[in-house]
Amino acid sequence: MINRRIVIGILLLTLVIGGAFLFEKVTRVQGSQNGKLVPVVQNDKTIAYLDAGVIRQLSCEERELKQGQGGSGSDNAVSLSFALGSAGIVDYEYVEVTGLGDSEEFKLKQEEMEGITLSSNSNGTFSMVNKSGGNRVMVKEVTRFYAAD
Amino acid sequence: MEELKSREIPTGMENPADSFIFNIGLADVIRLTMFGTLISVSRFVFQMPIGVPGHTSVYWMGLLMLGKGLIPKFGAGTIMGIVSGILAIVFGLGKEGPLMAFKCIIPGVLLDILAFLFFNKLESIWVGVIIGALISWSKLLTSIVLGIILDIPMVFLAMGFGYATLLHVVFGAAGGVLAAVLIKRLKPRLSASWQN
Repeated sequence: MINRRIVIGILLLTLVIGGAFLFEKVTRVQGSQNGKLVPVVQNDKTIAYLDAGVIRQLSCEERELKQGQGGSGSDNAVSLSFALGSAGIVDYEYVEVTGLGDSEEFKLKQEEMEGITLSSNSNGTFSMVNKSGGNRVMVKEVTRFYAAD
Repeated sequence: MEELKSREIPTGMENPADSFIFNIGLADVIRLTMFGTLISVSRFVFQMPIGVPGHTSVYWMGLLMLGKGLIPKFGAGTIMGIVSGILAIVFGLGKEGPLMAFKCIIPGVLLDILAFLFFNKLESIWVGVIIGALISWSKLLTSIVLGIILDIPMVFLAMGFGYATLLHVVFGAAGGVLAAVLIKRLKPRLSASWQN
């Protein structure tokens, strides 16, 4: 009786570990497809993931930092350079931003990033907005960042 | 002598100390409180900045299972969980604030259920592996649920879930094995003196 339960227990453990890896993979694939989990890629290697929650949290951090320096930040929006910096991307030639569906693709050099922010949407995705260009939405739902050296 | 005993405690009347909480006697509750305290103190003392998720499970789940193995009564795990949960709040362990208590109580409750399902044979290595791993994983799941309640971004919860699960299971199983070995050695020595 106890041996049968031990076998069931070991099978359950295998299922738990396998299920956890499967869950993570499915979440990653589905999130990347619907723009809810955005990979940040450098040298063909995904180095971080961003989502609307991270953007909100980063916006708070940037706002606190700017307030400390005497400036002011905006709600739920973080500058693209700050978001990329937090993902560990500081040295790059340009960043390619891809949007959901057939939306435009943008290639931005470091000097062109002034005024470009990421703003969280209500559906769990986030958009790229040009603040200096009259709050123009450049990419409605971002799906990928690619940093080229 | 027997007459004297029966005169002291009238038939039908139970000594309150024999069934203090969850049908567990006061002496056992005090011993369980000691284990609960040890769990919290060990987390406080042995916390290592190695950045490996779940490494605390080795002594956390080990002590939890050791307590349950030496006092094999239903509710023992829950009592240890409640005590360690309250102390974790007092010590300010974890980032979840008062909700941190659930991270201690849930593995304790699950331990009671699993020990019952495995006929309280916690001295068996394999039973130790299975129960230790499962209660350690329940701690991870509780952390994730608390993260959702506290509005932590999903990306932090979903990413690395497989890796975190694997490490929690491995460290929990290691704690379970240690507990099984200790229970096997200590139980015969303590069974005589730890009877109420």
